[in-house]
Amino acid sequence: MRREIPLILTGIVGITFFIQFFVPHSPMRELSETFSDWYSIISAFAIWLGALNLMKISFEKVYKKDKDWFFAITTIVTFFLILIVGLFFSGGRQYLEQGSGFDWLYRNIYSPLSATMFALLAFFVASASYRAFRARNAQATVLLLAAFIVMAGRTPFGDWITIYLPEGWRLSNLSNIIMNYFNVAGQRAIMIGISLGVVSTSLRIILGIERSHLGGE
Amino acid sequence: MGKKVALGICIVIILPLLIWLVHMKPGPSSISYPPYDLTAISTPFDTSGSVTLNWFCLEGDIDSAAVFPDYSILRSQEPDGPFEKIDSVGFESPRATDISRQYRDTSASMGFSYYYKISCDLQGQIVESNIFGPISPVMAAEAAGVEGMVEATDIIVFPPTQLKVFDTPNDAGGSITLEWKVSASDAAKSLLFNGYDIYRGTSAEGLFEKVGETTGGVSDVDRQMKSLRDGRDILNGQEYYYYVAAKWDSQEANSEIAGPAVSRQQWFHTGRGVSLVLLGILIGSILYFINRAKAGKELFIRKIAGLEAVDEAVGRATEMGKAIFYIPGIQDMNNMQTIAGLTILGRVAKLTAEYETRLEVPVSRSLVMVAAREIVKESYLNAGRPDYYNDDIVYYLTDDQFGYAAGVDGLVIRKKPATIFYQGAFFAESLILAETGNSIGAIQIAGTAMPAQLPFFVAACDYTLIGEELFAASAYLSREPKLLGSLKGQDLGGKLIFLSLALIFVIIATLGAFAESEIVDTIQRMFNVN
Repeated sequence: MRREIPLILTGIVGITFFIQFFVPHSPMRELSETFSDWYSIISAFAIWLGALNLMKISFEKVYKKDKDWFFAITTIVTFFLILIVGLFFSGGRQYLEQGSGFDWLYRNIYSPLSATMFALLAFFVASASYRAFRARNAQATVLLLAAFIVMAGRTPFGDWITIYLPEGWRLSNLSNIIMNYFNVAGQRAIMIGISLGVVSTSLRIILGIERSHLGGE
Repeated sequence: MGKKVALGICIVIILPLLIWLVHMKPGPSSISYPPYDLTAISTPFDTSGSVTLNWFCLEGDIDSAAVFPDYSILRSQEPDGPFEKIDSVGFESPRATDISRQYRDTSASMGFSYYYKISCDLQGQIVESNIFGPISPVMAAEAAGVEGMVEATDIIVFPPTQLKVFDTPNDAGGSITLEWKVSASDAAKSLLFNGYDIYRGTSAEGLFEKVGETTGGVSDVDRQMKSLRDGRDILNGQEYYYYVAAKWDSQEANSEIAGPAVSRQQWFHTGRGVSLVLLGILIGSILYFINRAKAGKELFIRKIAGLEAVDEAVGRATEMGKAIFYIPGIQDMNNMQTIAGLTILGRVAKLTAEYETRLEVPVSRSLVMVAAREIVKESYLNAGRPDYYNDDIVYYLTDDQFGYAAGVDGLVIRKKPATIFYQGAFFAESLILAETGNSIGAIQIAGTAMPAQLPFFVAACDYTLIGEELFAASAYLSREPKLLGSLKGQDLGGKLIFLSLALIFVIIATLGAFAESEIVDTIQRMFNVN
């Protein structure tokens, strides 16, 4: 029964959502809204599972003085800092308002840290591009050329070096052709494959053929 | 082979026919919109009774132009004429807006109906407007008890016209849709235009109350129509009447009352008929191949390099005595990519249990943590090593995107795993994670259905499961006949449909470019799922 009940529930909910997409009449909409609400409620409760797990592992690391236990202290301190400030020193339900303690932590600690991580992407793009665009064979050379045209075509420099060519042959135009035709064709082919994969996987799950996400073979 | 060809031909021929049948209903009727778009109303608040005409300026009739020919105002009492010139509007006459003009016909007599048109002589070429009428001047001011409120030069706000109200199609009731041709004052795009108020009543003669308002502008540019859905306290089965008021500066102009409209629930969403047909064929194909696989028919599935490399990657980590990291993306269990990613986790966990290799699964969602634990636990049990399992294999870091990326990067740098799997839904953090893994020399296998992240994974990882390959992983790795059957059905049924459709519609669209664009528009409308 441990596996059958989740399979039955999955089947019922999956079929309900499927029918609701085509049948707007009652009770399909109400049912699908109810199921969505249930999911939100379960997710909300599950957040505690994650938070408690994070604290349990962090406290264990500190207690056992595991390798890199100092990082666990950082996790514990910041976790309780934002929790306590948010709950008790930010004006209750107005904790999101500008000027509250929670808002101060968000603006001055969380946002800069997030932005820093995001900013790293620029350097990673540079290093990944360097590797990807090496002309090792014919295909990689085509990739390199396409990349050059697109990158140069998106800057004034691209048109400046091709200003003497007819308008259709300027880099900005060639860049648009690559992006609007070759790129879109490839992206759409991938999207069609993905859509088919999603339909097929959904069907397998709804019918109970796919069980590996429940821990089965 | 013959059967396959026959199946292909059937799909190619029957499918477009089915789709055509589903979409046999005609498209929305279009409303003519001639260059002038002449409209006329009985001038509100005019004690003597007059008719005000509004039209759009011809090309070149702009403030900065040096000179432009006069517009002739033509009037008749019959729609077919003869039209006689009653006046002319010169280039320097005041404009209603930058792009429209108005003229007040004070010579029109009450009790008579008139037809109007505008003409302009552009260097010998007479350009005429549409004929508007019949229209009769009414002494509106007397009814209102107000005199002399309108000067001859005042700009008059024109009401919305052709108001239609109807039950919103394809919904569960509780909503009425209004559609009207925008006021001539709105179409002229003046800053003085303040949008529309919507009034509703339960009888044509009864009390109307304001139930909403909307800004100016059109919803459908071609038809110059604006539409609005009223879902405020609408009862199914109740009759409703509406009118719409256009607001201009301090003036308001009401449309005619339209109705009744009755809201009802629909049993089938007609806009999704094509989806149902395509989905039906796809599902039929999948079920057919599942049955074939169950009957013991051998099915050929092409090799997927990324999945072939799973054993090699786990083996490498075992030889090196290092850990394996498994990153199931940053989305929750309601995302199909996460589920597909977790199915691969089962296979990886079983291998690590067999090889006694350390596995770590840092996750960013609590529900994913719970599901992943179940999967890993079951895999260890199936491998005969339940003693090797502990809950700390799968642990939660944070829901935050970059917090999670920072956490995983830190773990990767400190623990230097030999193998990293990225299987699931990823966003901007994909390259941050993959490049960090690359920098420590880990063998990396990625899989995602996020097209924007695929180039990053291809650049930074050793193997990448592209889109559908991620969803095929479970069937491919387990070699379960039923799962393989579904894969075959998806490949043959689904791809055959889409390739056939793509081919047919590329031909039609290409022909449409040389002939009528109406064909292409019709096809686009057919496949527009809403």
